[in-house]
Amino acid sequence: MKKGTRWPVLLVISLILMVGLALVPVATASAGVKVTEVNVKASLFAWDPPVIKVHQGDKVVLNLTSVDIVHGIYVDGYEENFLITPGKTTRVEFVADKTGKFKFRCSFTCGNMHPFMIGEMVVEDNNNYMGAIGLSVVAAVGALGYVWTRKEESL
Amino acid sequence: MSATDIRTPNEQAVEPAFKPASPYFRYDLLQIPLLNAIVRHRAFQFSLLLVNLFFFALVIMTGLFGTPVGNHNLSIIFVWIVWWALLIIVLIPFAGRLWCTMCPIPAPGEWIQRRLSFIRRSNGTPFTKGKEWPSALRNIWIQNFAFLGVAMFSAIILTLPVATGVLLSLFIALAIVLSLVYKRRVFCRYVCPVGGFIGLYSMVAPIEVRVKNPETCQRHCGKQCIRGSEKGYGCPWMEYPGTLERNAYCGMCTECIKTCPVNNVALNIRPFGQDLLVPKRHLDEGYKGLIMLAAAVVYSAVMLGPWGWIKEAANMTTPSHYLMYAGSLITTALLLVPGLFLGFTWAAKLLSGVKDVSLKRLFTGYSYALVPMGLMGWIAFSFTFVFINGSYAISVISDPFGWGWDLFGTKHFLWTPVFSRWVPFVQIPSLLLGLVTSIILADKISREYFTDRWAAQKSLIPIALFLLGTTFAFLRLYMG
Repeated sequence: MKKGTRWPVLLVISLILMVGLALVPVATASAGVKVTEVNVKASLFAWDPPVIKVHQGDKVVLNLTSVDIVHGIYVDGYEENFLITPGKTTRVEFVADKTGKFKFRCSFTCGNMHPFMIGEMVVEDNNNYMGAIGLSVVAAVGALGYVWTRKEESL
Repeated sequence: MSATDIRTPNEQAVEPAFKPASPYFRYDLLQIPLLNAIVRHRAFQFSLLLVNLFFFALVIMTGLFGTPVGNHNLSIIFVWIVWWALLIIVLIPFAGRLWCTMCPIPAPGEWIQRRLSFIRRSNGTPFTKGKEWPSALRNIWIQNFAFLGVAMFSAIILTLPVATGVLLSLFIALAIVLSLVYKRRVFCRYVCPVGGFIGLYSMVAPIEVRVKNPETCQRHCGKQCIRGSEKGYGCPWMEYPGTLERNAYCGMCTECIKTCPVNNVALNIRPFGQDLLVPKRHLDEGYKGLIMLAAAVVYSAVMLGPWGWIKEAANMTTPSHYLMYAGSLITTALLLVPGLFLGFTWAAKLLSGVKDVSLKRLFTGYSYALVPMGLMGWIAFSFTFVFINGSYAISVISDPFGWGWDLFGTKHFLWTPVFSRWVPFVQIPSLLLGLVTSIILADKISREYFTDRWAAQKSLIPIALFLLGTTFAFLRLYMG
C-alpha cells in the first residue's frame, strides 16, 4: 500500500470502530420503565451504597438517611438538592431521563472532607462513556496513522 | 546591583545550543513598546511580588486564624480552587513559568539575601553564606520527593485551613533559610515541590525567554546576564541565557532582559511544546512526568471517586489505614506506574528490534511523551473543582476568615455548582488532546533513538497503548 493511501484507510477503520463501540450498549439496552428504589445511608464522608445503577427512563426513588450528622445531597446534572437529617428519611424522586455517570455529592458542609463526599449514579446505558472510549481509540489510531504516514521530517 | 561570584559561563555553556532542523515561528513580544517598557522596569517583578505577598500573607493569616471549615475559609478556596485552577488550566499551559515571576514564597528570602550580601560582619565576612548548592543535588529529585511528601498529606492540606497555613509558612521559612545559606534561588530551582512540575509542564507553553542570537552571547564577554549589572541582578535561577533552550529552569524573572547590554534577550511567543523536542533528557525529569501522571490518576480516584474508605484513610482518621494509603500512593507513584511504563518501554525496544539503544535511555526519553498527557489529565481533574466548587470563592471573598464579615455583600452567596452535567464533556476533549499530542511527541522522540523509520514506528505501538490505557483510566474514573 502506498504511504499516501494509509491515512484514509486508517481513518475509515477508526470510524467504524468508534461507531461500533458506541452502538454496543444500544444493542443490549433493556426495554421498559420501572421504579428503582434505593436506600442510601450518608455518613462522614461516604455514601452507602457508593454507586447506584439505574436505567434510562427509570423512576428513581432514593430513601436517604444519615447515620451521624446532617448531610445534604446534590445530584450533578439533575440539580436535585435536599437535606438529610439524622433520624429522618428523606425521600427523593426523579426520572433518570439522561444517561451517563452522575456524581452525587454532599451539599451541606459536614466536615473537612465534605467537598469529596461523593457517590455515583450510573444511568445505563452509559453511551457517553462508551463513546468516549471509542473516541479515544479513534484518536490514538488516528494519531498513529498521522505520524506513520506523514512525510519524513526532522524534529 | 549584586555581582556575587557564580559559576563561569564556560561551566554552564558546555553544551552547544540545540538547533531544531525546522526553526519554529517566534515573535518577540518586547517589540511592543509598552510591554517592553513594563518588563524592563525595575518595578515590574517587584510590583507583582508585592501584590501577591499581600494575598499570601492573607492566606496564611486566614489559614492559621480563620474558621476551620475549609469551604468558608479563604486559604482553602483561594489556594486550592482559584489559584490552582488558574495555575494548571491557564498559567502553565499558556504562560509557562509566569507564576514563578510573581510567586511570593521566595521573595522575602531573596530580598534578605540581596540586602545582607552588602552588609558585613565586623570581621569583614558577609551575613549570607553564599554557598554553592551541592553538585550531586543539582537535579529535581528533591522536588520529586517533596511533591510526594506534600501529596501524602494532600487530603488534609486541601481541606484544613490550618494545614495550608502551616505548609505555606514552612515554605517561606525554608526559602529564607536556603537564601541565607546558598546563592540565589536554590529553593525555587531545586527544592520547591510546586516548581518541579511547573518547570516540567512549562515546556509545553507557547512562550519563552531566549536570546535572539546565541553567537552574540558567545562574542560578548561581559556576561551581565549571569553576573548582574547596575540594571539588574544576575540570573537568580543560575541559568546562562546564552544557552537556554528550555523553559524548565527559567523563572521568567526578566532580569536577563534588563541586564543584557546588547539587547539580545527576547520574550517570544512560539508554537506549543517546542521545548519537549529538545533532546536533553534526564531521568529526574522523566520520573517527574511519571509521578505527576500517577498522582493525577490517584487524586482523581481518591478525591472524585465514590470510595469512602479511601477518603477515610487519606483523611488520617485511622493511623494504620493512613499509613497504608500513604504507602500505596508512594508505591504507585515511584514503583507501580514507572514499573508499568518500564514494561511498555521494554516492549517498545523489543518491537523495534534495535539493540544498541539502552532501555534506560529509551525509558527516560519516552517518559517526556507523558508530559502533554499528564498536563491534560491534571487539567481535566481540575475542571471539576472549578465548575462544582468555584462558587465558594464568591462568599469567602466577603468573609475571608469565616468570622461573619460581609465585606462585599456576597457572604450569603450559596454554593452553586455550574455546568455539572457538562463537566465530563469538557474533560473528554482535554484528555483526547493530551493523548494525541503525547503520541505525536512520542513519535518525534522515537526518531531521536531509531534511525530506521520502521523500527521507530514499531516501537511507538507500546507507548501509544500505555497512553491509551492511561486515557481509559481517566475516563473510567470520570465517566465509567
